[in-house]
Amino acid sequence: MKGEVFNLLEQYLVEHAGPELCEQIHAKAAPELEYKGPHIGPGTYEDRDFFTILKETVSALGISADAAALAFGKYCFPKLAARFGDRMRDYHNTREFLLVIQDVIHVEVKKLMSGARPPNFYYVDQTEDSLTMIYDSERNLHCFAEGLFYGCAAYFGETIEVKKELLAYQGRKCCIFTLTFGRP
Amino acid sequence: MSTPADSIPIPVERLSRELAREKERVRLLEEMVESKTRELYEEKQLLSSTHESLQRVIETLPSAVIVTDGELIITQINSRATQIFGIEPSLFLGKSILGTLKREWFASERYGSDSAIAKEAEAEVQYHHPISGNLMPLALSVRPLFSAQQEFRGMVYMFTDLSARKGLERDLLQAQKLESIGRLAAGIAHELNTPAQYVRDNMLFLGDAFGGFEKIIRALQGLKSAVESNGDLAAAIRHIEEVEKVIDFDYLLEEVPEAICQTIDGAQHVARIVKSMKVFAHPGAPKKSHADLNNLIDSTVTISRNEWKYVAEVETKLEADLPTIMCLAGELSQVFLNLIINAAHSIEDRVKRGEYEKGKITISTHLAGRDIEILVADNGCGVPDNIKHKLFEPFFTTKGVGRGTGQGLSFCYSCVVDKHGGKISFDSQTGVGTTFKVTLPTGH
Ligand code: HEM
Ligand SMILES: Nc1ncnc2c1ncn2[C@@H]1O[C@H](COP(=O)(O)OP(=O)(O)OP(=O)(O)O)[C@@H](O)[C@H]1O
Ligand SMILES: [Mg+2]
Repeated sequence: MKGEVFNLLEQYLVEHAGPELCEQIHAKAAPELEYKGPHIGPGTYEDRDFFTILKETVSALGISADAAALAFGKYCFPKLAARFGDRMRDYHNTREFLLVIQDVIHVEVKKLMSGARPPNFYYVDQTEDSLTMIYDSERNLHCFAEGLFYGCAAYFGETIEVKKELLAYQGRKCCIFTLTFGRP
Repeated sequence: MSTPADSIPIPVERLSRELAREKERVRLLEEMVESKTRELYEEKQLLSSTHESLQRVIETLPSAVIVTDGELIITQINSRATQIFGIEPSLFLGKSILGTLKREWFASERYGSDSAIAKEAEAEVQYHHPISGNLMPLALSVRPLFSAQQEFRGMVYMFTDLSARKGLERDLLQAQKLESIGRLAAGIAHELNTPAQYVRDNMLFLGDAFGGFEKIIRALQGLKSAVESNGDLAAAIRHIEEVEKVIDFDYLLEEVPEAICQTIDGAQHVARIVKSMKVFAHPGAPKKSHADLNNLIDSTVTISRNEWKYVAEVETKLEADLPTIMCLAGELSQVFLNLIINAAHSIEDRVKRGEYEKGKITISTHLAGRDIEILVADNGCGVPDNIKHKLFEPFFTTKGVGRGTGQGLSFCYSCVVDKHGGKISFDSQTGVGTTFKVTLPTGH
C-alpha cells in the first residue's frame, strides 16, 4: 500500500482521536510492523502494516473494523480528490465520476505513484440513477470502498444508497455494489 | 490572568518526537529523490544505447533508410542513403522529407501523412545521382510507424538499389530469348537447308553447263583457226553443230540464267533468315531505339516459318509508311513471335481434329490516331470463356509439357504495358478464332 494511504490514516487519527492516542496506536502496533520509520507519500509499504495499524485503531477506539474502514474511506475521498486538482472539474456528479475510476482515475494513480496497486472495478449494469459495479481486490477493503462512495457523493452534494453483496468468485472475495443516486 | 499557554501544558516531548519524525521524512524523501534521479539517469543511458544499437542495425541494412516523425521531419538516416543519394546526412536531418529528394515520392496525396491515411506502399522510382549522373532504379518501400497505443508516429522509407537486379532481369530475359531461339533453331536449320540445297544443285548444274560451254568455245576456236589458215570451214561448222547437239546448247541457254537467278534468290533467302535471327540474338539493348514495326514483324514471320508452315498460311497486311517508334525491338519481336506461335498452336489443334487442312494467321498493322495497332488474328480453336481472365497470368498454360510454359502472354503483357506504355487485349470465340490486339504509342 502507498505511503499516501498510511499518511491519510495517521492524519485521520490525529484529527479524530488526537495526537496522543495516535501515538499510542502507533506505539502499540510498532512491534508487529515490518517498517517502523515514518511513512512518506511516494513510498510503498507492506499491506500487512496497514492492517496492523487498522487493527490497533479498532481496539483503541472500540469500534468494528468495518466501521473504521468505512469512516476512513469517507474521510479520504476529498483528500484524494484534491490530488487531482482542476481535473476534478471534468466530472459533474457521483455516477459520472464512478464510471471513470477504473479507466481514468486509478490509471492516473498508477502513472503518478510508482508501485501503486489500486483495486479493480467492473461495471455490470447502469441506469440513469443507479450503477452496479464489482469491487475486486486481494485486500478485500470493501468497507473502505463503501466509505469512499459516501465521501464521493458528499463531495458532489448528492445522496447515495449503497447495497453490498459479498461473494467468492474463483476463490477470490469480491463485492457487488449496487449504488442508487439521489439529489436532495 | 492566565494565558492559554499557561493553562495548556506544551507537550514538548511529543512535539520533539514529531519534529524528529518529520526530519526523518525529509531525509527519506531526499534519499528517494536521489535514487529516482539515478534511476532516471540509468534509464536515459539505456535509452540512448538502445537508440545507438538501433542506428547500428539500420546502418547494416543494404538499403537506404530514412525515418521521419509524425510531421514527416527526418529524424534518422543511414549511410547507405548518403551513398545512394550522394547527399550529406546533415542536409537531411531536421528537414521535412517533402523538401528533399523528389517531392512526389513522398507527397501526402500519394501515401498520406496523417494517421487517418498513413499507409504502406511500394513503388519503383528513378533517381538521378547528382555526382555520377547515373539514373538509378530504386524500389521504395513505405511503412507508417505506430506507437503501442496505435498513434501515428512517423514514416520509414526504404530505398533499395535495383541496378543489380535489373541486370539480372536482363540476363534472364536474354536467357529466355536464347531458349526460344533454341526452339526455333531446328526449324531455322530446316529453312536454311532448302535454299542451301538448291544453291548446291544449281551450282552442280552450272558446273556441268560450263563443261558444255567449254566444248562450244573449243569448237569456235577450231572455226577461228580454220578461217585464219584457210582450212576446211564446212567441217569446222559441222563440228560446232555436233557439239551444240551433244551439249543441248539451246537448253543450256535457257536454263543457265534461270539457275543463276535461283542461286542468287537462295543466297538472298539465307541472308534474310540470318538477318532476322540477328534481331533476336542481339542482346536486348536496355535502351530503346527507333524501329520499324513492319520490318520487325516481317523478320519474325520469316524466322518462325517452320512453326506455322505445316498448319497455316500467314498473311501480312502492313500499312505502308508507319512512323518508326521508340521501342525495345528485340523484346517486341519476342511479343510477336509468341502471338504467332500461340496462333499456330491453336490452329494446329483444329487441324489435328480434322476440321480443315490449313488455317490462316493474319497479321496487320495500322495507324490509329497517335497509336500503332498490331492485330494478330487466327481462325484457330479460340479461348473458352472460363479461362479468358487467366490468359495473361504467368505460368498459365493449357499446353502439354514441352509445348508451352505459360510465360508467353505474361511476358507480352509486361513488355507491352509496363515497358512500352501500350495495351494488349484479345477477342476470342471458341470455334471461330482469336484476335490479339497490341497498341503501341508512337509518341508523336
Ligand atoms: C469513489 C472513488 C474511489 C473509489 C471507490 C476508490 C477505491 C479504492 C480502494 C477500495 C482502494 C484500496 C486498495 C484496494 O482495495 O486494493 C483504493 C486505493 C487507492 N486509491 Fe482509490 N478509489 C477512488 C478514488 C480515488 C481517487 C480520486 C484517487 C486519487 C488520487 C485514488 C487513489 C488511490 C490510491 C493512491 C490508492 C492506493 C493504491 C495502493 O496503495 O496500491 N482513489 N481506491
Ligand atoms: N491465339 C490463341 N488461341 C487460343 N488460345 C490461346 C491463344 N493464345 C493463347 N492462348 C491460351 O493462353 C494460354 C497462355 O498463353 P501463353 O502464351 O502465355 O503461354 P503458352 O503459349 O501456353 O506457353 P509459352 O508461350 O510460355 O510457350 C495458352 O496455353 C492457351 O491456352
Ligand atoms: Mg505462348
